[in-house]
Amino acid sequence: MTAASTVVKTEARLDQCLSKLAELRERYSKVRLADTATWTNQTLSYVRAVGDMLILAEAIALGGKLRKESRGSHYRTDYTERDDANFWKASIAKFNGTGSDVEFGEVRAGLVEPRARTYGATDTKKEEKKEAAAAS
Amino acid sequence: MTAAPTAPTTSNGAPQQIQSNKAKAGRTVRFRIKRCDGPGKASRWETFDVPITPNSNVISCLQWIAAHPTTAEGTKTTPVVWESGCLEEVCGSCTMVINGQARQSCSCLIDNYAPNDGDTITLEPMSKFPVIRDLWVDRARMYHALKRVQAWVPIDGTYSLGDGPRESPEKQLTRYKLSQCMTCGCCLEACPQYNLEEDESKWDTAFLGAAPISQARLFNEHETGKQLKDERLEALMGPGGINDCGNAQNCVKVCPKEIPLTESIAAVGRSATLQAFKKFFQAK
Repeated sequence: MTAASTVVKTEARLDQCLSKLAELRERYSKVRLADTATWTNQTLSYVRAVGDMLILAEAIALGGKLRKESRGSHYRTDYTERDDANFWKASIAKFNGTGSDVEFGEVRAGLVEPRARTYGATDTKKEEKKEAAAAS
Repeated sequence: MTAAPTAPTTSNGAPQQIQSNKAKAGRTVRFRIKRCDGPGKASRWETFDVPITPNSNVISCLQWIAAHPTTAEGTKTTPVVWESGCLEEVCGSCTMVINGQARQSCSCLIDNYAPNDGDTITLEPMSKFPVIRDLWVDRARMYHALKRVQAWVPIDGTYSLGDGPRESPEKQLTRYKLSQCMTCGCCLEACPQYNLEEDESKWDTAFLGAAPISQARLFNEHETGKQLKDERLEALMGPGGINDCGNAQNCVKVCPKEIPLTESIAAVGRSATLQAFKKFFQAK
């Protein structure tokens, strides 16, 4: 997840991540504890948490894969621009018993009209580069 | 007779930066860990050989052992149980006795403690608190001590109380140092006057220890906290109070936050003396 699903993501890498997660969930269904003590068993509580971590990791990776745009700290090398028309929406993951179904839901418009985030940059060269990249 | 080696110098005679003693990469360090399955159970030593990566600390090594719970003799065992929180030496949870001295394990760098292949590090739980399992001890007595000295600022409600009283920068500097106490227990572990006491009914008269005494000073010097000064001093002048301090000064040496604990004990001693005079001459 750290490698495939933090800020910079790519479809191929996310697919790798999702299949790895599926493999881990399969192994988890047969997990055995290194510590079977009935007193102060940290291994037990950690292993239980891992099961939930696997479900959440899949929801996150899948949401990242389906969001074919870049937005804030979600940057897709294959879709580098923000796409408000298709993706100004919230990713909603619903647990279906084994994994997650991700849909896109309505976002309530705030007080600020969506606009390009340039962080105050006035570098015309950069804008020209962006326009050139968009045109190509 | 050969001349003693001199420090290397550069061409203009200035002393050359001596290369830091870099610990060997890819080495193995032996951990001897005092284990115990539960309260009242017998303890035993287990040895693990842990491969060291750069910037390893004791906790990262304990995590490795948890992933590879096999002793150095090849016996399968259980992961070692220990407590930790922040992993950055601000919470005080991970105190243990490392090579005989109480310290935080998260900030205990292997490169400093075991720079050579085959070096040994011993891990034991704190001896002044009852063991729950392996390196995890029950610290309830520390919090009981903070209650004894009422280590808080009293408020009479959770509604807005308005602006607090002002504090001079000099006082803030003094109090800030005391406020860094994270109740880690190192000072209590090092103190020869502080002993294991498993009988809770004895906690009210057993020695408080350096940390709660310093916390009492912290709150006695707070403009609102000082409202409880008389009661705090009452507790500190009673059994298990400052009278039990034997001046070993181990506490200030081991404090990971370098809190001036002996200054606090002295300051509280002075306050107690003044308080005794005050009470003697009080018309009651």
